[in-house]
Order: sequence, then structure tokens, then C-alpha cells
Amino acid sequence: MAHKLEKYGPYLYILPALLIVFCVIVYPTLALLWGSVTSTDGSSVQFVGLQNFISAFEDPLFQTAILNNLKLFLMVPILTILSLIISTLLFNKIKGWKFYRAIVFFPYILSISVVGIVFSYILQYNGIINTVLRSIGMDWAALDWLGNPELAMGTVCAVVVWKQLGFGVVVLLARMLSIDVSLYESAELDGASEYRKLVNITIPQARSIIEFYVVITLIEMLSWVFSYVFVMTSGGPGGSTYILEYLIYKKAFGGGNYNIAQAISVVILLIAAVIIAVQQLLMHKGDDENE
Amino acid sequence: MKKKISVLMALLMAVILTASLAGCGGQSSGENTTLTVWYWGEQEIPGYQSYMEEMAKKYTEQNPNVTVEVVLQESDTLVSALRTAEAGGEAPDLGFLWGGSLALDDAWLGNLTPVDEYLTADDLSVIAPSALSETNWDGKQWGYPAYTIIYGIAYNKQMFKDAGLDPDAPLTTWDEFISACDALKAAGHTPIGAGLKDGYLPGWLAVYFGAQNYDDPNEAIKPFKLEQDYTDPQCSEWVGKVQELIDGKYFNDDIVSLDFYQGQQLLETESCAMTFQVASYTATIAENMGDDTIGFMKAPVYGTGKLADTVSACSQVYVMPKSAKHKEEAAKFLKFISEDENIKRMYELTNAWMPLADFDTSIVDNEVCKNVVSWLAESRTYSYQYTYPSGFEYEGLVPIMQNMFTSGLSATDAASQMNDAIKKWADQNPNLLEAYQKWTIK
Repeated sequence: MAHKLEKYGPYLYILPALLIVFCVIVYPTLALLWGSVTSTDGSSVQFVGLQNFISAFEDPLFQTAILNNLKLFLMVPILTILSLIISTLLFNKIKGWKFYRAIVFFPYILSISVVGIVFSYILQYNGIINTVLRSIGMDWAALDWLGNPELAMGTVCAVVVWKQLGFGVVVLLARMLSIDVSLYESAELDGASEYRKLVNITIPQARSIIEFYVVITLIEMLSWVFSYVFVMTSGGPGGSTYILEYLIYKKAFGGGNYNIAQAISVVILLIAAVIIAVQQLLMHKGDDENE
Repeated sequence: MKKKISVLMALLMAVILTASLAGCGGQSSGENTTLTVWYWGEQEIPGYQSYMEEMAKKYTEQNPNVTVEVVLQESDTLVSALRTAEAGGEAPDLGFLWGGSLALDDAWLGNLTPVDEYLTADDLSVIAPSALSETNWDGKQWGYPAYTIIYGIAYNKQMFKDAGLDPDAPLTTWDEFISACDALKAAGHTPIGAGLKDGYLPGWLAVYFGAQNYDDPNEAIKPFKLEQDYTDPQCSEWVGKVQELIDGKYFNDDIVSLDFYQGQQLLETESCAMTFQVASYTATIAENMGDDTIGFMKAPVYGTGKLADTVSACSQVYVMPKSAKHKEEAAKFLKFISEDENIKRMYELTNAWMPLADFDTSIVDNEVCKNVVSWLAESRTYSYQYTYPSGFEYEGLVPIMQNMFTSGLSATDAASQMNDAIKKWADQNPNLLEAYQKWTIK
């Protein structure tokens, strides 16, 4: 009895957690994969192979959505560089740096829906931004930020950057504050400039955090931006701000086609898996180099 | 010993976790029933929320073992919330959907139970047959009308006077409408207030102008049975009419950045002369701003079909989700809200009414609704939007029409793209295409 307890005991300890993982992750994923290769008509389910994926790939809205998610990916280096610059400035402990840190972090704690609603009012063609621009004689700059298909996605990206920047700053700053101060002192003795210190000390020392931040932000740009589009543009104008998440929502709850929606969800899952796999490879490569 | 205790604790936790998961959801059974009703409508006929809360309380007073829980839904999540709940087996006892094909979508998806499985022919006979036919498919009744909405154009009579127009002579033809828009512009007013951003406007424009070349609703759904090309002028002339309004710059300049309701509210803030609105809401605006300020007229006619002069009207409906737990009680509640006294109360609170076979029009006491009653006496009702597939609207009509406003897409190209959108919808939804091909609108 004691031997059996010793052998199987650990499994019993992890059983509750396993049950949760199964219910929340494994089963839904399996159901999603099954749904993506079947077609549902009322209560009857028919296996259709890759037909849902083909229908999705041939849909012009899917192509637009993929491109828009790629545009959001381009925000990641922008966010990373901006976070690095701002956190470096704060790291130098300029006067009032704690206050500035709070100000920079504040947008991150706001609800995305609230941010989206407020910006959709501010950015209206006759909203406050354009009203101010017109009042100072800059009518040429008072554009239809969310109503022009050529500007709408860029505007959404700008709002995303505004909101997400604080997280990167706080994460990078926290890492910087734990870097050995003697490294900077030695560098100063050697006459290193601020730029050299950033490039040769700060960035290498913060590399793992930067990698983590890049991966997390890439995944956010893939699967955490639905609310911005839903609130600010409803995918318009003319479908120009469709992203993969919004397309899934419209396919499932607008058109009632759950199977194609599930196929697109699998696409997101695969892209996220590739991102994480690349990050793991880079991480292990980095560990090997250190050894 | 410590190990044994740890193992036992782990086992206990597993049991508790499993029990709590199994215990999730469901109401405790017993003598008391909680009837859950999800509804919408406050956004369209202000006062409906008060009405439903009053009905819930009154029903409970008459049926002490039943508690009615009424939950107002949001426009953006009306459909998705119901579908999600149904998929999880936790749908309310009564749901609410926009009528016609928008409700039948869920019947075709297998989410609903026909209401005539719980309501007799006698029960249903209180409702006007034309209203019932909107959600009747394959010989079954899928929706029960909640109230009728009558579409029209609400207008500011003072601005009409400013522009030299007769505020008491409604515009009836398309040419009169365009001339009025020109006159209003010349007088410094924005002719039409509207909002396009959230995608509801194109469907409304389809309601007003989409079916004017048809003689019969069954003609109007031919493109969606793939029996007619949408580029045929009979189908798509209306798109050219919308193009005329865009080219004439008759809409507010921020139409693309406003939501639909924000666009409608431009009339209330006296920022535009006309807006697309429903009768009940217009009656409420007229109560606030005065009958001498606000008028209501039918859509102008350009088409030559018998449906050109119909009253654009349809019913929003209550539906019975398949997983509803108290279907009999739900049916009883539907009969209850159809009683004369309760219909009268709906009108008092909302200026709207259920489409009854024998509606007592003497209770209608405001100018807007009296006008509408006279229209209904003269013409049949029809709503084009409630007979085309929702997938066509979301993925075709909405983005295409937005491109007409923002990218200068021509009416000809727009009609061609709408035709492609119908084909895409048919390819991706063969089961819905089959349902359409079986549909004959009575």
C-alpha cells in the first residue's frame, strides 16, 4: 500500500490541476480541431477535410485580415524600441521619474473597450482632434482617421501602441534596475557614452526580457486586439480593419458559420505556435552560447 | 502518515473540484420556476424596458410560482450572446431576434424550437398573418412577433420651412426627395443625418430602397436562391439611388465616423433635416420636440414594382431556443403579453404595438402613429432586409456600401461585388442556400 502511494501519489497531487488544464485547454483545442475539419448542419456533422481552410483562404476578408495582423506585428519593433528609449530615460532617474513611469503605465491598466470608445469619439471627423487642428489653421491635417480605409488600420495601430507602451516600459525598467551597477561604473570610467552603455550593457543584460516582451507582444498583436477593432471600427470602413479575431467573430456570430470560424482559429493557433517555437529556439541557442 | 494525509487531501480536492464543475449551471428544480427572457428594443422603441419589467412583475403576481427574469440585450451582442448560450446549452427560455431571415438564420442553424409546438393555431390567430409569415418556414412558426417597427423618414418641419418646402406635404417621389435635399442644402442645412461606422445603415437603406422594383417578396429573394444575378437592374437599381445621394453630398460630412444611432440623433440635436427612423422612436422625439417640429413620411418612390409603395415594416420576434428549459411557461408568457390590456400598455409606454390581427387603432393618439395607421390601412408591409441572408449583409452589403462612401466605388461595381458576395455566401453556407431554396414567403 505504502509503495503504491509513493508511486501514484504525485499523480494524485497534480490531478486537480490536470483536470483544469484538460477542461480549459486540451478539450477545447481538440473540439476546435474537430470543428475545423467538419461541417455542421443543424445537429448533423459531416467530415469535410480541409474544405473550411480552403474557403477561408479564398475569402478576400481573410486575406485582408492576415495583412492587417502583419501590420500589427510591425508595431512590435516600434513598441520595443520606444519602450527601450523611455525606460532608459527613466532608468537615468531624471527628476520625477516615478511620476513619469506612472503616467506612461496608466494607459495599460485602462480597459481596452473604454480606450476604444474614447478614441473613437476623439478621432471622429468632427471630433476634438480635428476641431483643434482646424482651429489652428491645420485643416489639411484634419483627416477622417477612422473613416478613411487607407488611414483606419494605421489609426488603430497607433491606439494599440499608445495603450501597450506602458507594459514594455515597466518590464524593461524593472530589469534595468536589477542590472549590476558596477558594470555602468566601469563603463563610465572607460569613458563610454550613454549610447555605448545602452548598446553594450543594457541591451545584452536585458536580452531575455526583451525576447520575452517581443514574443508576448507578437501574440497580443495576433490574438488580443479584437476589442480595439470591435469598438473603434467594426471592421470597417469597407472591411479595411478586419483582423483574424474579428473575422472569426463575424463568421461565427454574424454569418453563423462556426466551422470556417474554427478553421481560422486553428490558423491563429498555428501562427502562435510558430512564434513560441522560434522564441524557444532562440532561447536555447542563447543558453548554448552562454555555456 | 503525512504522505497518506497528503494523498487523501489530493483525492478530496479532486472530488470537490469534480463536484463543483458538475454543479455548474442549471437552476434548482422545485415548485418555483424562473423564466428567463432575453429581450431587446429599448434602443428602438424607448420605454420597452419599462414595459418588460412591468410585464415581468405582473406575470409573477398572476403566477406566484413563476419568477420572470427579463434581461435587456445590447445591439452588438444580441445574436452572438444567444448563439453562445445555445451552444453551451444554457439559452434563456425566450430569446429575442430581429425578425424575418435574421431570426430564421438561427432556425436554419438548428438553434431554435418552433413556437407552434407550444402555441396552438388559436393562440397564433391573434397575430396578423402577414407578421407571422415573416418567420414561417417549412410549415413551422419560428418567431412570435414582439412589436412592429415601421420605417420612415423623420424630418424637421422648421428646416423644411426654411428651405421653402411644405412641411405638411410629405415627399413621395424620388425626384421630389432629391429636389428637397438640394433646397435644404441651399438653405444651409444638412439634408440627411446618418452614421455608417458600425454597419447598420446599409441594411436600413436596403429596407427603404432595395425592393421597389419587385412585385412580390418571393421575387426579391431570387438572387439569394441563385436564380437571378444581382447586377440585374431590377435588383440593383437601388444601389444607384444611394450613389445619387452620395454624389449629391446630401449626408453629414462625418457619416463614416459616426455610429448608426449617433447619426440618427443628429435630428434630435437639430444638426440635420431628415434621418431614417422608426415610427415609435419618431413619436417619442415628437413628444419632446413638438408635433410642429417633427414629421414622419414614407420612403420616396422611384421603383415600378408593386412593392414600391409598400410600408417598410416588419416585426422583431421572440424565439424559443432549443435548450430552453421552460418552454410551456415561455409560451404562456407570450400569450400573456398579447392580451389586450398589455398591448395597450405597450403602446402607452413605447408608441409601438404588436402586429395584431385585430389591433384597436383607437388607442393611437399621436400624429406620427396616426399617420402610420393610415399607411397600414392602405398598403401591405414588407421589409427587404428581413428576407435576405445576414451573411450577405455583414460580408457583402456593409463593406461594399462603406466603400461607396469612402473609396468612390461606383454603383455598377458595387452591384457586381454584391453579386460576388452572394456567391461567396452560397459557397460557404450550402445548408443556408438549401433553406432559402425551400422558402416561399406567403
